[in-house]
Amino acid sequence: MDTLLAFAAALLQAGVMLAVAPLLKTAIKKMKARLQNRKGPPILQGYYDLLKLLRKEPLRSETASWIYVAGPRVYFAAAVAATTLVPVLYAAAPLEAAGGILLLVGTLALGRFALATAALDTGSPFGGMGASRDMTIAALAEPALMLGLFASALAAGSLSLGVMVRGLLHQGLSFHPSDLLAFAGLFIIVITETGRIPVDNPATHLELTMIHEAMVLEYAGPDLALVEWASALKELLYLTLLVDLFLPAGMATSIAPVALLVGLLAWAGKIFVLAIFVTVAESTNAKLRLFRVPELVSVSLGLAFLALAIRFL
Amino acid sequence: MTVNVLILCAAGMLVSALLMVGQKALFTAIRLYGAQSLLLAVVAATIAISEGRHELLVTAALTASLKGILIPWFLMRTVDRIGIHREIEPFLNVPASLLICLGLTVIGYRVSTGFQEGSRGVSHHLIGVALSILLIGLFLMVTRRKAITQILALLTVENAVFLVAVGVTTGMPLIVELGISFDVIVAVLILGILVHRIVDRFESMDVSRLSNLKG
Amino acid sequence: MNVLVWTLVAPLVTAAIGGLPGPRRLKEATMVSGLAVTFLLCIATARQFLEGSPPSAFADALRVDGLSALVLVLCGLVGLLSGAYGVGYLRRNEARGLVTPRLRREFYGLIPAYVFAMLLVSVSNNLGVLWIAVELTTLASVFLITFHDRDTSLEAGWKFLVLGSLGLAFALLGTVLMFAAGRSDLGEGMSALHWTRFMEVAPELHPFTLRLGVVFALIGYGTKAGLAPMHTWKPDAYREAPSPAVVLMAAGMLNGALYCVLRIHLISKAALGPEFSSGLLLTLGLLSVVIATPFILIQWNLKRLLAYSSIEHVGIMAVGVGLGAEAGVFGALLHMTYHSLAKPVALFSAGTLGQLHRSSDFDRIRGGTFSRAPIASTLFVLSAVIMTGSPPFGLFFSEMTILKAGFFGSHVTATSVFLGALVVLFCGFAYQVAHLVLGSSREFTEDSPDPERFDVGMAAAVVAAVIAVVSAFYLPAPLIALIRAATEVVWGGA
Repeated sequence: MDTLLAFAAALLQAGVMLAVAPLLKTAIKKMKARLQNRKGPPILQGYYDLLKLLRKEPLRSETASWIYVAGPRVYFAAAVAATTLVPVLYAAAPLEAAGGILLLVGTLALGRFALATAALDTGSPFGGMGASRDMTIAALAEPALMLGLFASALAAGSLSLGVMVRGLLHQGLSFHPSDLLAFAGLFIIVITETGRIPVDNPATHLELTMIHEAMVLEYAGPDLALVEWASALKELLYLTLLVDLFLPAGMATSIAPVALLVGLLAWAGKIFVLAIFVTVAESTNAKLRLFRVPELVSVSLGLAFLALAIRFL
Repeated sequence: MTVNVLILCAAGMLVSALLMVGQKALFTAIRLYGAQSLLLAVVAATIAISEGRHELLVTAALTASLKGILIPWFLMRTVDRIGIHREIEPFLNVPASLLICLGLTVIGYRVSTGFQEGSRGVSHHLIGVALSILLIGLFLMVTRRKAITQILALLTVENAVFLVAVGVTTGMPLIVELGISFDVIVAVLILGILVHRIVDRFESMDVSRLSNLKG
Repeated sequence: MNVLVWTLVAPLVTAAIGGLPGPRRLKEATMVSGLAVTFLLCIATARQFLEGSPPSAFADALRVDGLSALVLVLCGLVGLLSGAYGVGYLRRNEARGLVTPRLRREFYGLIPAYVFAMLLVSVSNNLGVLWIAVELTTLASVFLITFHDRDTSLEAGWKFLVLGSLGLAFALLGTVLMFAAGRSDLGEGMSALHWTRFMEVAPELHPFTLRLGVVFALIGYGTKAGLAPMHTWKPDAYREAPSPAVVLMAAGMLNGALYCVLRIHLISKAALGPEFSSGLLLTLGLLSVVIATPFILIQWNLKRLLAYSSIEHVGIMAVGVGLGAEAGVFGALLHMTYHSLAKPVALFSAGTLGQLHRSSDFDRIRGGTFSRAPIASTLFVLSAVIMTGSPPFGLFFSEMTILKAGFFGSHVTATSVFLGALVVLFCGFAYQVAHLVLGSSREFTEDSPDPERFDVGMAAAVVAAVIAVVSAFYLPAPLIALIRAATEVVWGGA
């Protein structure tokens, strides 16, 4: 009975996140446009784009194998699966019994692996180049991500996100310098993983500057829709992770509808604020040259490591 | 509440110092220093309000206006006027510098546990952060080549000293604080003038070229 | 207003007048007379102290005890000599067209301002005021170092200001930490930072914080004094600044910085026991003496040679205090006195030689200066003899006192190293001076040196030399009393 309830909650949560994800993406685009004195796309543009792509016919290369087809699907599935491990409105993740931080990072890595392999499968030079660049950055970003998450995990005494959130809620509002250090480090990782300036430009298709875009260059139609949706979902997921670990106040601790509503509003508000941070970070920085990206990620690694060290001094 | 604000601001100062280490753009480094000084002013103001020491508010206002706004503006104007290469070229690359600064931060925190306040109060964090920033500032001074970055490193060290002063002693007598601030401003102005002259003469801000006098 | 305040106002007014435009003779006369008045006021302040009513001002923020009085008088004298020599120096430069009216105004304004800051240092009882005063001397001297506006001047000025500011940041941190160590006992307001207050509550100061503070403060003020390993700015600054300013740095500010070091040392002694800071001072002093030695041997410039000699001497003074015996302290203070009397001679004669040859580098000056500039060369040789501690001159006695204190105390190894370094230094210095002065005059292919003339600058140098020689045999009784009083302060800590 419990398992059934958990799965139902997981589906519900995944559905909510999937629904909100395109909104977040367009909101950030619109804010960036406003900063550049343009109007930007209409707020529902993300949904329109997805619908348009879903209605199109998928174009697949004749030399590609089943890996090419499976790539976007595994990527999408991994992203959705990851959302079920993270507490969003309620102070527990639906499938938290399945695993904590390590499972989360592993699932996302699985998705990335599938996409990169599929990119190699097409045989196009752009695919190979994008895959190798993305993997290089991931090799540095993932340890930084894990260290940042470990800093909070060690403070809470558990690797499960639900336990961490509940612990933080119980503690009330009290900060430690390592919190800010971990936040700064993880924020840099969020920028890295979601492929935003200064790491990668999501709007470019120039050979010299593409990283994520190069991997998905070959996709069209429903395949591309899945990839785009999953990317937006990942972005929402990372921001939710930041909210959970550093400012979980306002999350529902009971299933009462009022509490859930409050939780929803609190979550939406905090995500919006973080989206503003992301926009400002994107708009005030120039894109880094590719071989400078490891330096940025090493800064993040350093901050995360320091967060760990300071907690015990 | 006060404790949270203090800890957040102090941690922010530490983050800004670490970001300065990984920074290649000169303007961003100057802005980071400005942000650091503003956070310092907030710390001073918070302590002033919570402990009722109102002279500290004057110092906080001075810090915010002089070190947070005026000095960064002056430095940016100097860099603009000089109009040369805007990148910082350190002697050590970024990952190695960061690693060393990590070690320095750990050292700073360790030393701060010996202080009077006991290891678990707010003062521990404030002093830990301050000593870490001091060591990072010293490191920056040794490994950076451009004259402006040496000035920034010096100013970072001054910020650290001020944070110790505010965190441990709730401030020194007002006249002394005023005198010290005045001295720092004049020193920065003179340094700016010297930078101008150096660039005029040597066509570069690279102080490693100032090595004719040896022995 | 009491005499102490007048002593500080006099150089300040002189500086202000000096900064205004005006006819040259009038400006020269004003500066020299202003500095003379300052010196007389310093003597008057010291006299008032000796008579038993130590002057103080601004609610004890400024206070004159034995140590202050001694440093005050020495700085006043050095200021006067520097001003007198400066007149001649500037005249010579003007004859060569190197000095614009604006530079002249800067000079006449900055030299008395520097004197003011030095005097403020020596009478500060408040640690905060002390720091501000030392920073003022730094700021006043920067423009003096970059006075000649050469490439090397900029380099020296930059190094000086950056290293000096760093040192002062350390000193500020040290002051703050020391203040924090006694937070609850020191009280409120300005008097909480008074040195006398620190001495009163010394046993209650928190040991760890105080230790850290003392280390930082000693490193910081030691940078200003020129103790190794924080001495690297000194050779450059001495070479680039005009000689009158260098005299102020070498004999005036050195005393001032040592004064700060001693005040910190006394607090540390009272709170933590003598071994901690004495050990630090001994180490820094020995390091200075040992490091100065090779650089004197391989030196290529006259004024840098004197800078390393300065580093050696401040090292000797630090060792004297660090040995932890009363005789050592007395020797150190005696050394400070004789050094302040002898250094001006060296710098005046070296400065004259440098001016005549248009450069103080050895490859310009070397070889037979005696035939070209007999008076300056004689004075220089005389000063070298005095400065390396030869009998019967005063520095010999002070060094002997310190050595005796060392050998009869517990630091025999340290003292042996010290003695060894002194001997090597003596030989090195003698070698350099001989090479410079003796021998047949070489041919100058371009830019032959100016002929020597007996002008105001030379007269000042001769007067300084007379004072230095006479002081070897006779010190006025009040001066001896001042040295005794200063020893009492540093040894007894009252």
